[in-house]
Amino acid sequence: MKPGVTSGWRGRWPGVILLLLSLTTPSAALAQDEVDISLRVRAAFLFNFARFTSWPDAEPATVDGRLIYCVVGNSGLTRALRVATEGKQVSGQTIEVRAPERPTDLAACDVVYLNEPSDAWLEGLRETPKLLVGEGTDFAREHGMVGFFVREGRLRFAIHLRRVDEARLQMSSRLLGLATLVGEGRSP
Amino acid sequence: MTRRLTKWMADLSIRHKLRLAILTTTVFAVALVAVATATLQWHNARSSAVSDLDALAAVIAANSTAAISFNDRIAAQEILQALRTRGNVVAACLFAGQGGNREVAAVYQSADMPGPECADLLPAQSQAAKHFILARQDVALHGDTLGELVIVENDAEIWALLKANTLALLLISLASMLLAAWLSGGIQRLISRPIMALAETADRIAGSGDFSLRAPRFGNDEVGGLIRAFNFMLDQIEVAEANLRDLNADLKLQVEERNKTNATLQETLDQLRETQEQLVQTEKMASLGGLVAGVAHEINTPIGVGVTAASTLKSRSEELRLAFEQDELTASGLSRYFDMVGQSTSILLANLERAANLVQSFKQVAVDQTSSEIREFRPAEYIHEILLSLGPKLKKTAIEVRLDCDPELRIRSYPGVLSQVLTNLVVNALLHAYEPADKGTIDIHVSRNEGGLQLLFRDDGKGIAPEVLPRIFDPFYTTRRNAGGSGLGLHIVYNLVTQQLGGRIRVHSELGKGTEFTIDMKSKEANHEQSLSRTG
Repeated sequence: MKPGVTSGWRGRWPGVILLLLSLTTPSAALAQDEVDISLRVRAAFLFNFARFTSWPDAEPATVDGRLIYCVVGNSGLTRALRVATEGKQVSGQTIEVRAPERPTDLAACDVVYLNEPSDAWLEGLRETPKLLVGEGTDFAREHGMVGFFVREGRLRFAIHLRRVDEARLQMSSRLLGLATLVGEGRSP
Repeated sequence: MTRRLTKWMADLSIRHKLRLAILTTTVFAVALVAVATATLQWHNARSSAVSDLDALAAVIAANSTAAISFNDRIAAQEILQALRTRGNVVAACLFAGQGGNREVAAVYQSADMPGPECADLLPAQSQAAKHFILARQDVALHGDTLGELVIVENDAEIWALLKANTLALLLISLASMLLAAWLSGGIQRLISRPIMALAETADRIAGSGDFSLRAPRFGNDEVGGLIRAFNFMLDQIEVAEANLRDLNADLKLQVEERNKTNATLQETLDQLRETQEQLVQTEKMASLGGLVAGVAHEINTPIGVGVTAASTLKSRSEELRLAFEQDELTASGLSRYFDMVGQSTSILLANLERAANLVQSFKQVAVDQTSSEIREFRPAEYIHEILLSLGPKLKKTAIEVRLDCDPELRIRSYPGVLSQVLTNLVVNALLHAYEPADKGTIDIHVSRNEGGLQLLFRDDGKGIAPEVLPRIFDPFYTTRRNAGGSGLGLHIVYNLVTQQLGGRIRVHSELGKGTEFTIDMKSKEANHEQSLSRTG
């Protein structure tokens, strides 16, 4: 089912998102109505982050052929993410979305989203090859690698590049080009 | 039209033909190359422009993956703006989505060049960019198609390039043709020079007839071979000519000699003719002399007898006179005197008559020498008159004369002569062929002959003895001298027939059967030639 009328690209990203989401299976179309738009966008971004990021080879996540998203503290996002990634693959890896209860459950995660940057959760994530995404440029600056923020009505994201490097993750320059880079530059 | 053109081209000098050939070939070749090159260039330019654009589209599409994924319109726009530097790009469109759900994500439109709208380019089979160079590239990330990039470029650059190239090609072509034209002038001489030299030599030989000239050699190709053959031919002609001249000279010599011989022969012939004429003259003179001698001799006899008779008369008359004066005249003496006078005067008269006849006959012969009248006449008519004039003579005899001649027959000759001939023949026949009381028939038969007449004079008289026959035409030959034959009759006939009439006379006779004279006479031409008739 086609998601309504799509006229020219004029910054009406909801319609675009709908378009993107229409790539999902028909059952997902029913779920669309229940999910908040901002969550949907975040979910889409999260999905796309993975596509522009490559993890180090030895990583168990890479090895076992699955890409595991862990969403902490945002069940809505979890749902949205599940919808967004259903039936999709990233680089031949199937996608799994989890909502861990405890920090120790983060071991198998490849992408971690922290709704709140609590130390408990952050503790085990430092210098691990996990893509850490949170809210706000501060998050990116102080804790994680990627932080969502909204400017001029659009969802943007900030990336702390050094941390990405320290985690031995590689991000496509195309992704970096879209992001607002924070923190010091690359480590020499 | 084409025929005139073909004729004109055929008449062109070899030099121009060659130049034309070289130039035409060059022009065609250069034109072909130029056209082929231009076409190739066009294709290449287009395809390289297309592949160029494709490459660019690939790069931009790859760069757009993130912008499309994250729906970052501004970023996408910025990416497309990079195309501003590529002057010929008319429009570029980034579409997000797959298949039928595509939507325009970013648009670049050239400020100064019109192009198709992105919305029009959305469908895959869009013809909106038909006159442009189009590159379509999928925006894909890890095998997933996120959208499509379409770049539209105009081919102004291609055309500009082509124009420049074509101009260059044209200039080069022109230069090539000029070069070819210039070169062809030189190259054609390789062929035309020997040929023209040959033609010129041939002309000179034809004009001057000088076979010692030779054509110059220029090389060892086919033309060289031709020239060699030509020169060889000339050698042969020269030799033949020399031979001919020699033969000619020989011939001339021969002709001269022949001419000399001919001249000599002619001289000899003339001399012979002269001699012949002289002989004839001499013969004539001789015969005339003979005639005169004959006549003199003949006349002498009767005159001698007459003189004797006259002198006897005179002496007896004187005796009588003496006797008369002495009165011794007796009657018997007178009677004897009268007898003697009677006898003597008879003898005198007879002999004088004889002499007169002889003179008359001689005069006849002499008259032959004067020219008589020549005209066309009908023999039948004329002979008839002749016979009439002879009538009195014939009446005394029992001889009949019959004439058989075509009344229409004509001949151009001397009628007077013919008359004489016939008269003499008749007289001769009357005298020799018949005795005074004999009966007989003379047949005169005239028929047409080749160029004249044949006259047959036949009598059924005594005939002529074989020993006499050969002499009958001799002058003063007669077998009847005592009967008054002068011996001149047939001689005159012979002379007249052979000389005046220009014919011939034959005689055939058998003793006891008769005699036949055959006379052939020719019709005289308008300007009859005396000399011919003499030799005839």
